[in-house]
Amino acid sequence: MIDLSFLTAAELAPLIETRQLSPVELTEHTLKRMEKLNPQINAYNTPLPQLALDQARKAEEEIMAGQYKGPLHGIPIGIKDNKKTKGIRTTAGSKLFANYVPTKSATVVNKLLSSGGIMVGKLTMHQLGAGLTGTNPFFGATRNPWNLNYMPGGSSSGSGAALASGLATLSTGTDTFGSIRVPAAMSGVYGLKPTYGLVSSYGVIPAAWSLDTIGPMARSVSDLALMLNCMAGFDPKDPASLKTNVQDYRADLHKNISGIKIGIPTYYLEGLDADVETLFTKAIATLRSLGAEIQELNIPELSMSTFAGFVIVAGEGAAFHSKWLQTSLQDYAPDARAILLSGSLTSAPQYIKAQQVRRKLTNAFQIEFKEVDVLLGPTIPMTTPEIREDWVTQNLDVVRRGLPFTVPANLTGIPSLTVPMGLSSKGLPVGMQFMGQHLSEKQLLQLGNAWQTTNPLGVSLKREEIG
Amino acid sequence: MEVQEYIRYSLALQGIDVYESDLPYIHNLLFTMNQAQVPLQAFPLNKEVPITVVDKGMLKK
Repeated sequence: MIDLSFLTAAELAPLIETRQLSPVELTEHTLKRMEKLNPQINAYNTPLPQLALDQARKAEEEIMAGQYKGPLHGIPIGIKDNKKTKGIRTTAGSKLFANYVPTKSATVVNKLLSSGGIMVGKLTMHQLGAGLTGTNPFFGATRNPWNLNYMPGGSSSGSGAALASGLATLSTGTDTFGSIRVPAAMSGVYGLKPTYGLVSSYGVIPAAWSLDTIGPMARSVSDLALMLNCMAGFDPKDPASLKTNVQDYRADLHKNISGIKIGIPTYYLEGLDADVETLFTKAIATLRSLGAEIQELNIPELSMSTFAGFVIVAGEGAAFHSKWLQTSLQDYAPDARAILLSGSLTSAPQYIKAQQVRRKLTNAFQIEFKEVDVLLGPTIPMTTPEIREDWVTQNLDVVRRGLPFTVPANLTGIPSLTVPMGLSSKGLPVGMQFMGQHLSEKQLLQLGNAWQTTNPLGVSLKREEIG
Repeated sequence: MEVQEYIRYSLALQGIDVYESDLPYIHNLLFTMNQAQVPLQAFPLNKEVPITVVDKGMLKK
């Protein structure tokens, strides 16, 4: 008998299409597992068993009637809780929005459900997207399925943890300064922060408008491609939405990567934990053995990205929350509150300087992309930390170390794909990221797929016991 | 003026009553931002036009 928990959507879809597997059976399996494991892992703050079963029954009827919609039809998907869902509370992981029930769904939710996806629940997240650890005083800390004493990364903490524990086949994330890539890296799954504007942000509670990017998370690169095929595309309701042709992101997945030129900015080699450095050195050798041509690059402009990242994240966040910071300060977790209040104290000239940095950094990247196809670095410089009691200080520390590695892709709007790089000496996953030219998602996914064939974690996620 | 006093005063001007326990965190974040600003001195940023968002929907009108 097949264990459905860790199959990918690409593996499940043919079974569903040929009626060997019923969407109801698959959904019931996921819900049972959720009932058993979610109390330990806390990946979902709003499980939706009845809705999921209703959607699964409808999917089954459609498929039996010969109306198969494609590879997402009947697949269990977890939705990060900053995406509005009509009639279902949407909290952004915050007490502030604890009772907020939207009247409309985010565009990306509508797209996934129209493709036949089954929404099994709303996923936990670091409060308001203002952190990278997944610790949340209102909904409780989300735990890393690889070891429950460790953090799963954030802010899409539930998205990564649900995938790593087999509580969803696919999940959605958002990334303002690493919120897809950090939890994917720490939880040992795959995550894509697409080009800014490729996926509509309509109906997503903002963290920082000019950096927020919505993207897919999954247990395989081919599943990221499946999801992006559905999620990408122009949306007139999002003023930042790109008018660009949606490609078939699966098309080049199995192409050879021989001859692809990869540049490693020396900036990404500084301050690495020993385990990260060791794994990254091995990864470079493996990529070379796959035929990639690798060289080091010096991009001095990257040294300005920490400043620009902090000022824009905190400043735009403070602008969005200005009214509530006056009236409902008690509803914020201390770490989110500190970031937003520091944003209230940044100056207009600092914000403008940050925008100048963005142009300078984007131009620097454009010059490098004439020499290389892709940039590569560790997703963050550190291994996954154990959850500490002083979680406020811990989150701010992780942000201080992680943001310089993640935010350059947000500042410049380029896509970044994080893949598992290996396991640390403590047995926790570590990730690395491929960054490409605007709209180069196909090439990133091609590289990621080649990398995945090397089985970077060396072990299967198909484990009997969690933690 | 002490930094924490400045934080309290500046937020009060915006109608925000800050918690005393938050002051060290805010202070640290502002310190991080100021430290991170140092590398900017090596680049002639005044020649750069800040990235601006042109909203195509607005242009049509």
